[in-house]
Amino acid sequence: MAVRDWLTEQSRTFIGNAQSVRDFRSQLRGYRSMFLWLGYLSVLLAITVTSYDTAAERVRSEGLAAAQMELQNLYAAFMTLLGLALCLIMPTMGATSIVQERQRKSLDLIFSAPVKPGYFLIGKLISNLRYAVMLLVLTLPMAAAGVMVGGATWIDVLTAFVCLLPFAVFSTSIGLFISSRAKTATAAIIGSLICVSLFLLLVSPLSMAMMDSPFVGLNPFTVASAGSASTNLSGIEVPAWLISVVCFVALSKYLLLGAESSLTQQKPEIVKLRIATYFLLVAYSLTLVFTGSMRGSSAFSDAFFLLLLLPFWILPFVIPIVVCYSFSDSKRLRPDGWFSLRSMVDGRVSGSLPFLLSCVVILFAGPLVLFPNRGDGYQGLLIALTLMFLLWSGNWFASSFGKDAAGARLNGVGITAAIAYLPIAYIPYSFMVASRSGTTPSLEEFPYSILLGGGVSPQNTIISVIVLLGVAGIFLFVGSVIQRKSVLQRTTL
Amino acid sequence: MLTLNNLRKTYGNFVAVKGISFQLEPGDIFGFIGSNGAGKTTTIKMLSTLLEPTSGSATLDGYDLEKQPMEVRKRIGYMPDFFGLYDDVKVWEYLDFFATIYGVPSSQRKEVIDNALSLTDLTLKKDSFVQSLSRGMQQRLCLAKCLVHNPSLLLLDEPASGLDPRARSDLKELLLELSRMGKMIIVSSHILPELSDFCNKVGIIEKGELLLFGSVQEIVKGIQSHRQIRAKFIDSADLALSFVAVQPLVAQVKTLNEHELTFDFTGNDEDQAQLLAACVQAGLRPLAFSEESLDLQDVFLSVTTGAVN
Ligand SMILES: Nc1ncnc2c1ncn2[C@@H]1O[C@H](COP(=O)(O)OP(=O)(O)OP(=O)(O)O)[C@@H](O)[C@H]1O
Ligand SMILES: [Mg+2]
Repeated sequence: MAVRDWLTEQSRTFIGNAQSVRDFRSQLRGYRSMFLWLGYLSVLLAITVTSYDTAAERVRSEGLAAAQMELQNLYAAFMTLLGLALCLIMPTMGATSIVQERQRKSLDLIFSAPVKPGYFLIGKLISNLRYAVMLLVLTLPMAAAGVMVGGATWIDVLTAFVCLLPFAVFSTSIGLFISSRAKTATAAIIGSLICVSLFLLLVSPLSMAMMDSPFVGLNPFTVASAGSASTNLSGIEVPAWLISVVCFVALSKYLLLGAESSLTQQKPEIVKLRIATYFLLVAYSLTLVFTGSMRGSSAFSDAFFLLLLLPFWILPFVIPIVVCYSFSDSKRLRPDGWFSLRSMVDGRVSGSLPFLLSCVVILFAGPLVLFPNRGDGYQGLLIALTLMFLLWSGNWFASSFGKDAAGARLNGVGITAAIAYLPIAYIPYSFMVASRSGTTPSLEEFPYSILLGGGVSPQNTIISVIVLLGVAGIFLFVGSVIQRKSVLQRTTL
Repeated sequence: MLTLNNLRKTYGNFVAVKGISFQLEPGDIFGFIGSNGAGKTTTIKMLSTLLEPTSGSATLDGYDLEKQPMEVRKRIGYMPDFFGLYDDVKVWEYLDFFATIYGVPSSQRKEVIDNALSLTDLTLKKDSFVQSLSRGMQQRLCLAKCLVHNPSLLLLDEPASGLDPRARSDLKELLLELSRMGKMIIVSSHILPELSDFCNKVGIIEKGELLLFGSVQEIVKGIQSHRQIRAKFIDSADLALSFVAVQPLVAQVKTLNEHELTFDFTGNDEDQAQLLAACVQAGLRPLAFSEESLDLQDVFLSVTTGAVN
């Protein structure tokens, strides 16, 4: 019975979604999509014309082989252009779609109807994907031409498209996620483009470092060469396109859950989002262990390095949302306590600390279970837990200021970013010390270096933990003094 | 049946709605009256499940608003105080959208849309674009949107604002028709005389507190401790005044003009009849002798202080 209900709901969401039907009707009437496609086509044509021109030139001067080379580059150019178009258009479309509804005040009409926010978001996603599908279709003749002249194989084209469509889903989801929080369209567009850029920044080194990188399908600019790439995951050859499909679908689902919970602010959505966070962390940590374990002796350190890299980009955006509260906001009044395991996933303030700490434990659990004898793993866990406690206390401190939750969160982003990125200042310092004493600089003494993969002594770990706890203590003390004052002020008013 | 049980909403330290309780039966039209910022929209939004109440509860046809929001939403037609209309779709497409998200099967959608259009008098505009409708028509379209899924409770936040007198009287007829169909209707409004015309229950809210709840007559009686009587005589009113002023149960006699006077009277119907007889016996010649009833506006002005939140 429950399964049947679920299936009915899914089919209702994905087939004949009213939101997407409605959007499609207005898309057909608007000129936006037509201009978009015409513009894209003319750029494609311009590239083709100029390329054929140079190719013909080279046939005359250097012979046929050189000209073929030129035509092969043409295929790569088309795919890059397609990637660029997707990177720019999809987040923009996603970003405007919810803000537009909010400004038109039609969201209340939809959320007073018996549909889950997921229905609305999937509808928006489908209607925006039409642009992506259209772009892919428009590129198809050009890609076919590339295959004809020998610039690529059909497998290459197919793989590229199989990677690009989920990328379109992902980048639209970024837009929708930002849009669910933004107040104006401009802010939403800028925010989404920044997020997509951050993602590209992150995957570029990973996808370009080696030819058969497992991440080659994650980067829209390298998908052209994803056709033959595969990765050995514990003895199984996994093609790059499969990795990118799985990653993009999982990340999109996650982003949509995030958008759901910020649109409704209701408990079930928040619980879903947090449980999804746990799942993603488990998957992430296991993937790192298995990809890392194939790379020789420093596997564990490599894994930790990557482990830190990705979450650290995201932390400043996530933690303030989880932790910060205000005194006047309707949802997050005064904190309902410091630490409540029962509120871990329901979005209440008292559950934020156990939630964040459990995230750290889950992230480390995979590596620790699989490599139980690595002592530095436990040291890493200890430091990561302390660091998380520090970030939490920083955001708790940030909540003492700010008129509402949004203001408090903005402060929180600043404090989190400072804590996360400040140690980078240690690097020039260590160079300075090293040059003065005539030794080579060592990252081994870096405060969080165990997380960065350096094997650090237990003494250093203890010192790090004490320092981090000390700073957290200061945050908590000053924060509680300010908060007590402001509570007194408000109750006497 | 709709039951509100101490429904309360706070924004931080600010209490927007201070524990409202009342009950509506099928067929009831409830007029929700209050000054700007009294908490009408907040209450209606809580009932539409868009806002979570800070405390208290409410049930509709046995379904709890917080625990079974999906069941409740299926039974509610919510018309906000703004329209939130999509302008790039046609009228029937707009209704089709809502029929779909309210789960009306595709086989019945056409019929349901036609019914809603004819109830709201928009059949002729079926294929027009929403942006080409006048304000009043857009408002009716928004009402039509609330009817496609045959809800048992209609939440109408100021549905009459922006309507011309003709459209208002049409709206009144429509609401009476819907009430005969057994729907509960909550209408918030500032236009009091109209509400008293067709609402069988009214509630007055100020600063988030429900000051009065009941039928218009009950409310008027509750507020009026004595009757006010207006009398007209063929002869001069001054002559009558000297007689009436000394009668028992009479106070505050005032002349209104040459022939009319008013006074407060604390007796019952029997006493009132005796007073009239006494006047006739005394040789005064009354032309009219009637109780002046308060209307909703007077009640509203007398119970509210005009203080805003
Ligand atoms: N999101 C909010 N945050 C803080 N206060 C709010 C919020 N929404 C409403 N209020 C306050 O709640 C009070 C009640 O507002 P509400 O909109 O319910 O009034 P209303 O009776 O509908 O008024 P009107 O007749 O003007 O529509 C107002 O004082 C308003 O300022
Ligand atoms: Mg209002």
